[in-house]
Amino acid sequence: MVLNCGSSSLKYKIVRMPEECVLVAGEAERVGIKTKEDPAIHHTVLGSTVTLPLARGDHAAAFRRIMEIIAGDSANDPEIACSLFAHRYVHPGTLFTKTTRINAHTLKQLRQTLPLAPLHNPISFSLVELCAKEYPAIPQVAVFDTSFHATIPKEHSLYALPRVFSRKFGIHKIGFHGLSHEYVMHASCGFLKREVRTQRIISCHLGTGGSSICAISNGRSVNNSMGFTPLEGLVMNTRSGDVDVGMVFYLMFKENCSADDIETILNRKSGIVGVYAASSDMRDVIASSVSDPRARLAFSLYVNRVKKYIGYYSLLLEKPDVLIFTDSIGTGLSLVREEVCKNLQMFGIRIDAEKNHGYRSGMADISHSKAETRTLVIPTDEEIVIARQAYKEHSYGHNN
Amino acid sequence: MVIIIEHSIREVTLWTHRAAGAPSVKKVATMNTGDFLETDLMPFIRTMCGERETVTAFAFCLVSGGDLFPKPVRITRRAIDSLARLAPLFPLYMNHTRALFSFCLTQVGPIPMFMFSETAFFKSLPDEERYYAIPYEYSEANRIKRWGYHGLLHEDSSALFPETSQVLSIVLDRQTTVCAIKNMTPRYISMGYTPLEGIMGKTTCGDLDPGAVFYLMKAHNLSMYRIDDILKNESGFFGMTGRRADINELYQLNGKDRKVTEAFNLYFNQILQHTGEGMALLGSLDGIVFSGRYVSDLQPLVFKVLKKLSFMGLYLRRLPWKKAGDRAVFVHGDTSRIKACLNFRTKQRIMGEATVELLKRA
Repeated sequence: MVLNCGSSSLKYKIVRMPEECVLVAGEAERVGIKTKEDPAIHHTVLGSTVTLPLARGDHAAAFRRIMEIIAGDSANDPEIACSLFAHRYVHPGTLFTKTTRINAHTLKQLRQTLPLAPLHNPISFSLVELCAKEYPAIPQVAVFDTSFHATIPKEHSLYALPRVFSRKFGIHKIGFHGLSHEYVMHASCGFLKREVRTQRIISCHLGTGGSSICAISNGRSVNNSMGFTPLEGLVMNTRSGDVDVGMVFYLMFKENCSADDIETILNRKSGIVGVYAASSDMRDVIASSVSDPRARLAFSLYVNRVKKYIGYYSLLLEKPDVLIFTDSIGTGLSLVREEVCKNLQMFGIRIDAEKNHGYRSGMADISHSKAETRTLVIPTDEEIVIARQAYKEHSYGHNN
Repeated sequence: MVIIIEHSIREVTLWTHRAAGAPSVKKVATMNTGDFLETDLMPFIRTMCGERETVTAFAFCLVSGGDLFPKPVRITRRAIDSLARLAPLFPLYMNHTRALFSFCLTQVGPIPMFMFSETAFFKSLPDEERYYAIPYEYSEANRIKRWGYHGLLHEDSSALFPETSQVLSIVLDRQTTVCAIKNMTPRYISMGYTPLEGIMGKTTCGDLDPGAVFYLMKAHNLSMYRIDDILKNESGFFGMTGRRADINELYQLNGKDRKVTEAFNLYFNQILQHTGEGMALLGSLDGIVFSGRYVSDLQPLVFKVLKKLSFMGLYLRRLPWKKAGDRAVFVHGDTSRIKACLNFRTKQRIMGEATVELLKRA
């Protein structure tokens, strides 16, 4: 069973391996955040989808509700059962670079990483602990979101800090959403029937929680908008993304705040919700943007930041072959794609308005017929990547 | 003769501006005594002027205040008083500035004094570039917005192209900034609320994940004041190389010294990042201009940046590009779709000429 905690969502899948046959899939959305709509679980079992209500609460409550639903499914179909928990774990720091089996020792190590991604790591860690407590017989592995970015070259991963900061404290760009970027990289090349090792790809993972953009060259990540932590980069639902670090000191001094206070402001009270205030959901922002100048500002800030990273990565790659939009905002909001791609012809990017607004599901090419860069919409499937890596680690563990 | 004055909290630098073509003289006075203004500055100015020449005006350069003074203004008692509004943001600098202006006003009497702001050009920066994605109330209450920098040089560089052009201007200086300009109006600037944001400097860190700052404070018990000092004074080229030298001097070691090479690779990448970001907001590009004190010395790096734009139809003349006085030198090839240019005019020249114009109008 794959468990993929976003900052405001919990995706899950039960996958029969090695066939990669998905028996159950689902997502609890709007978990632990302030939105106008109620949280819900979209649950699919054997091809049939239902939307179930979910009481407002944290990820642990959502997990328990999911396990109740699955228990009901198991009663009808005994094949629906869990023999391994595979957790997506966002930020292992420098402690882990590959998929790892969880035991008392690794759990202790993971505890040290909680400050590194305050929106994700504590949630994932609490689920690992919950699984260990409530399902002690089922083994667990952690699959890391950072592994794909281990190939980012030094000139892109360093910050201009005294050397001791990178050498002693490990401060450097780590990058995130690696599982998603890796999945869509392979999916896009399969779709276009091209070799991964020949392609220059910009992958935009625009989620309701976190978002990042990745520059990929020859199958390797060469840059990612997120940095040492997931706070850097794009404007997100509740995260500021890139800011002048000078403001951190000013706010601490002026408002007499602690580092924790400012960190909470930048991680949980900034981004879309910080500017728009009424909601952190981009769908609400778009709905209000005609009449509300703050919603318009939030939308423009969001779109501009994505455009800017596409501009940067276009120069870095010297024109992309493929531009990909994925995750909930990337696939679900055609207006975001339209505004992001507007006036980017100089980088080869041009989309067809009809194809873009007509997109409903699956993989699709929304490029204009004369565009040099192919723009694709691809629903991500981090869970399959997690299942593959977990199965590999689990099998390897059993055989050795 | 116009005297151009730039000041920080540590020193005052003066230049003379004479008729076009005449060399300007530069003097630096370090403020190491409390009664600097009384005992040192005026004798210093008198020495600089000589006895035979008449000083027609003084021109001061402010690093902020562009929203209050979007155009160069005559320094009066009222203007000095209005600078008090900026004191909460730059307490040391602004209080020092007001003291300096007040002193000069009483000492030089009827000689006109003007102030130019480095942020004035960015008065019309669009809101989506002005604001950060932080709680709106913080932005408004604390003026935490992107104010920009190097406005005088960016504006001057944009004027090398027709008014309706889309231009990218890059200033290579102790602080390096990138500005995207459309119809003579800025659409993007790399430097923000403080000089820390954007491209790394001689001792400043440039763009940094704020999460790293929190991590250092919490996990390694570094205080806010210590990290602030490290990011401002011990980072950038100095932090990465351990050498306290100017960027153009360090560039001589690029390719020879591993740490220096790594620092310049990062510097190049940061310039490329902000160039790409600015271009994405412009939508198309007519010209790209490099200026600033290091534009001559860093020509190979400029070449390397511009080469990255060749897929867009920018073709270059071969190095070296010869400097001809302080005139702009166009370095693109005949078939290039985008023009590329080096602007050798200095900020002091720009301020001097603008001051002469202001005097004529007066």
